[in-house]
This record gives sequence, C-alpha cells and structure tokens, in this order.
Amino acid sequence: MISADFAAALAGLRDGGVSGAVRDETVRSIVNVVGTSIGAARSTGVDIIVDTATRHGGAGAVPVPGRAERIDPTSAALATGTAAHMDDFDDTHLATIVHPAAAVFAASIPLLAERPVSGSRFVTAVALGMETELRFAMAMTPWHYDVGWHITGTVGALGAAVTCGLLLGFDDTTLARSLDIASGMPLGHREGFGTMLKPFHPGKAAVNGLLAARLAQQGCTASGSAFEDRHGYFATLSTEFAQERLTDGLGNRWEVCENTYKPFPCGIVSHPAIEAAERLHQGLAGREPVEIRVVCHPLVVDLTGNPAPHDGLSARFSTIHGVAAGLATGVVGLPEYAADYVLRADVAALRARTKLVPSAAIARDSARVEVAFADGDTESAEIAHARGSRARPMTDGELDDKVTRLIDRTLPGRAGQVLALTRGIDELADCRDFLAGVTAGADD
Amino acid sequence: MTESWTVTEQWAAFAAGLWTQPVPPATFAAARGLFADVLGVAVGNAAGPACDAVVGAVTAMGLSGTSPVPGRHERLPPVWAALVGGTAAGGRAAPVVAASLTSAELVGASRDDLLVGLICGIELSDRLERGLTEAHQRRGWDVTGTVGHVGAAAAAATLLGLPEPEWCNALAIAATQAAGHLAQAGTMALSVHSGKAASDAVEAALLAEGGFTGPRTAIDGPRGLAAILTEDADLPALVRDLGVVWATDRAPAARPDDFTRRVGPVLGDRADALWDAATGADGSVPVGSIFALSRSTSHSTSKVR
Repeated sequence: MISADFAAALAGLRDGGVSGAVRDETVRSIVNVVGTSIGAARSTGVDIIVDTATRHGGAGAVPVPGRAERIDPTSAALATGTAAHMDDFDDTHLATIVHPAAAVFAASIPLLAERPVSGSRFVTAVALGMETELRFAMAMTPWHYDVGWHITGTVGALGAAVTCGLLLGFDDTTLARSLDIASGMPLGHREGFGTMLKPFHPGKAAVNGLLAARLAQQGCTASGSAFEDRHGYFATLSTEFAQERLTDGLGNRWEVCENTYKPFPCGIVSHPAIEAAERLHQGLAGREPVEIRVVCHPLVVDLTGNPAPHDGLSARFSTIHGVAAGLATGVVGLPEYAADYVLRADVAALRARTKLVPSAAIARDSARVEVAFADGDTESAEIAHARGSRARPMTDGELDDKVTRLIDRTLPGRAGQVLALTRGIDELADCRDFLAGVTAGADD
Repeated sequence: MTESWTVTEQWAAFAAGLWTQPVPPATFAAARGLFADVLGVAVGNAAGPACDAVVGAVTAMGLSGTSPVPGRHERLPPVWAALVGGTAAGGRAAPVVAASLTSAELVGASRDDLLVGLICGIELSDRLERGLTEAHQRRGWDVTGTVGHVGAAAAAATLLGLPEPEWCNALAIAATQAAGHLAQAGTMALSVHSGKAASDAVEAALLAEGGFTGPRTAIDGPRGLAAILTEDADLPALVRDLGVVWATDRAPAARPDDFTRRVGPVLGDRADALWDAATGADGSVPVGSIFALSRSTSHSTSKVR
C-alpha cells in the first residue's frame, strides 16, 4: 500500500522534526516563495482571484502575503499559490522541473491564520510536503511531463495534503487517506503555459490538498490502493512509473536539498549567458558593441532562441533579450522583462547585434559572451557554472538580494523586516506573527 | 463557424446560439426529465454520509456563503455549494446538473434558463466522452470527473452569460482540472469526483468572468486535454453535427415513481411539488424556489453541524 507506507514513513520523520541541511534548505525555499508570492501579489491574475473572492467567497479573515485584504480561506490559498508562480521566478527541483514550494506554502496560509502553529512545526510540515511532491514526481519522471502534464500542478495537491495533514496533527491513517483522496485531484496541462493558467496550477493544487485533508478528517472514504491500482493515480497520469523512487533512502537522502532558486525570471538555460552579460556591463563603459556572440549549449537555441521578443512573456523565451538586458542595465530582474523595457529602442538595437553560437563543448550551466567594439577592441566573460545551479547554489546573500528586489515591488521598505522574520521562522512561537509581518498594512 | 476555429471556439458559438435559436421541443422535454431525475438523486443523497463529509470539510475549512445546496439547509459560497450538489447527484450528468443549479440560482435564472445551460453542458460533455474514445476509460479515468469538468463549465459559463472570450477562458480553466480515477470505485471519494467537476467549473466561470485567462486550444492543442487524456482521440466527433443531433435526446425518460422513491423519504408529501416545479409546464419558476422546495421542513433529515 503506497499511501499507507509513505504516510508511516513521513510520520516517523515528523516526530523528530527536520534539522541541519534539510531545515536550512526548507527555510531557503520558504524565503524564496515569500519573495515570489509578495512580488506578484498585485499582478492582474491575483487581483482577479481576490476580487472574485470578495464577490463570491463569503466571509473570511485570512491574509494574502503582500496584500491588505482579508478573504475566505481557500481563496487566500489560491491567490497565494498563484502569485508564487506568476513570474516564473520560483524554486526549481532540476531533476523533475517541479516548483515545490508554491503549493505547500499556499495551502498552509489558512491553517497558520486560524490557530497557533510554531515555526518549527511549520518548517517540518513544509519540508515533508515538498519531499512528498518531489518523491512522487521522481517516480513519474520523465514520462509524466512528456505526456503534457504540468508536474507542479499534478504533484502539488499531494504535497499540500501532507503539509495540511501535519499542521492539523493527523495520525498515520488519516494522513494516508488524505493522500488517497488527493490522488483524484491532480491538475495542469502544459497547454496553459503562457497564460494565467500556468501559475493557477500550484494555487489550485494548494486548495485541493487542503480540501483532501479536511475530507479525510471528516471521514470521507477512499481507496487504500489509489496510487498503485491499475486504474489509479500512476496508471492514469504516467505511461510508466518507478515505485522504488518513492521511498528509496527516504529520510536519509532528501530531494528537498536538491531544490534550487532562479536568479533570473526566465527559462533556466538562459541563466549563464545573462550572468556573463551582467558581468560585462561595467566594462562597456558607454561604448557601443558592434557584435555580441553568445557561445552556449545547443539547447539554448531550441528552447529560448527567440531573437526578437515583442512583450514580457516572449522575452522570457529569448536568451538574446536577457543578454541585451544584462549588457544594457547590469542587473536583470523583473523590470527587465516588463513590456516597456522589452520594447526600448536601445535594447532592441543590442538584441539585433546579438547572435547565438551553439557549441557542443559548452555545458548547460555554462556560457561565454564575447563583445566586439567598432575600434576592434573586444571584451568577454565566461561563466563556468551559473549562479543558482547545483554546482553553484545561490548564497544566502544572493537569495536575500533577489527576494529584497521582489518585496520592494509590492511592499517598499519592508524587505529587511520580512527577510528577518522569514529567516528566523524556525524560532517563531506562533506563525500568525509571520503572517502579520508579510501582509500589507492599510497604508502600504 | 469555420474549420480554422479551435474546438473551444466552435463550442462557444454553439452555446451562444442556444439563447437565440430555439432548441427542439423534444430536446427541451428530455432535458426536463433529465433535470428532474438527477435532482431527485441529489435530494435523496443530501443527508447521506458522503455529503455529510463534504459539508463537514467545507465548514471545517471556515467557508460560509449564500448559495443553497439541494436538500440541505446550509448556505455556502457558490463554488462549495456546487461541490456538495455534485457529490450528492449521481450519474454522468451530475456535474452538469449541479453546476447548472448553482449558476442559475446565482444569477436569478428561471428553470427553463437552467435547462438551456444544462442542454449545452450535456451536449459538450457527451461529445467529449465519445471524442476521447474507449482508450480514455481503459487507462482508468473516471469519465464523470474528467468530461464532467468540461460539460459543467460549459453550463456554468452559458448560464452566467459570458461573452465569447470569457466563455472560452472558463472552459480552459476547467479543462486543465479534468480528473478522477476509478481506483476510488466503491468509496466516497468517487462521488467527490463529480462534486469537484461541478465546483471547479463554477469557479472557472466566475474567474473567467473576472478576467482570468486560459488557452483557446485547451481541448485540441498539442498539450491540451485530448492529447493528454487519451491515446486515441476522435476530434471530429467533438463538433460534428453540433446543433443538429442532441445528446440530451438520448436521456432516459424520468419516472415519477423513481423520483418519489428517492425524494419521498426526505420530503414526504412535498416531493410532488418538487417534481412539478422541475418538470411542469411553467418554465418561469425561479431556480431559487426549486432549491427552497428541495429542503425538508423538518430538520431531522438534514443534520446541521
């Protein structure tokens, strides 16, 4: 029985709590998701969810990070999870392409708001929820994603159900039944990429996980073999599955510790080239490049080869745009993917002089950018391992810088306080203090 | 309608036409029977253990609202009222009927307006079921949950009167959530699949009304519903003879004795009044009053927690 065995293993890990590297990486994941969810808290898609909640959601007192409204509990989870993934600036588990923090963080919000939960209990619940997502994702990788599923949505409800079940103090059997019920609530087709549906997927996965846990608590019955049944979760969602990956080394080797954080809000294959361009910015000293060559892994051409993006979304699929922005501005963040920046004449001129030079000798997390000037002078920068890659993880300082810029978009001047609160969340006696600290005041 | 339109776009044009071109009278009559039949199941199951668990879960999450639930006294937000109604109702049409009930009540529609949304939802979910072919069911999908999401969203979006772009967005928001597997057979979780289909559909329509977006290729795109949920899609079946042949016509005629057997234990003598409202000649009866008739006057059959 997959769910019973998995829940029993999780219960053993819960009792000891998480510590050391697992706790540290979980806190870093929470820091990142606090940044992305506050950073996009006032985007159009999140506005729509909050407005719909206000009109149709009934009474509620649950906050949404980065906003001032108090809304109904499930809409708050939906808004938070959608915001977290809105800008594609998430954490990424590279082996599965899951963005694990959004769904489990979002599902926690209503439960943290309604009762006192200690920070260490919250961190443990988030760690085990993310580990659940990643283990089930590993068991279906690569087959499930290749079919067309957005894996962040399909495993998200499982992780959210576990996080909620742990926050609610479930015993093993109720935790297993939460998973069984959540197995019938996966969502997310990749057809929605490029629309608001993509970020909706982890937001709704959070709601589904919360619902599954509450249904389990209220006595809803479900199949105990919902995952392995020949008509069950894996049979419907994947052409093959590797069951041993669910529990192999569980509790000793943590997928959570493989989580990474995007330094730039765009596809990961662009990152080394953009970082190289950022380094060259100062060396330009106002001179106009006549030619820019990006020596890169061949996948860059396939995945992000758009040479002439026309808006923020298409720019995210243009390594050439990221390089031009790095050269022009020196720091590439969300403002450099805003439509008005993408359409700037000087940026377009730089893009027009930039070409991709694919090379099989370049690794995926490497790139070299070469700039030639009219006087024959040249400058170049090479990145051996991109910032945020597994070989060169974001340092705490780099992560804090990223999150500070995200928070400044929505809650100007509050980044230091939010970061201090989130970095120290493990020590909090009551996470309601955390919620109060990440929410907008009436004057924000 | 042109062949370059996506399936969703062709469906949107069909749905819009239902308000301007009359549905054949026989189809409308069949819709009344189908509506009454499923409503009877929903009322009969309203106080059952699956509905109690769902209402308990919704209440435990801290949700309250103003939308009624068939056969019960609680008032919930529309998304969650549809969850309970869809869980209570049975059969392939359950998500469409539950989403139609909640959406129609929300906008103050009449019974005959509700039937227009219902006919739309039944038509498109039935076509989707055939278009996904046997290959879809062989994998283990619970068809009521999967195609129910799409049919229920079509019904809800039509009843909310969404313009074409929003109608297409609603369909996309629901389509990406199509789910449910048959390992849950024999458990309450199976009934929850049709509740989820109705609930997610009502939410999709409300979000789309507010401006939330999704792809127009949600059904027939390369990474869309049909490509993902079956190895053997029959896409022409999704639109062939749309508006010419009607899936609702194939619904078995509702039998008043079945209705009374299900509803009688809950409503007693008032079962007849509910049957008349659902099937009678007066189609102007507000859906809100059908909900009111579905509730027992004694509290004994509907536990309040």
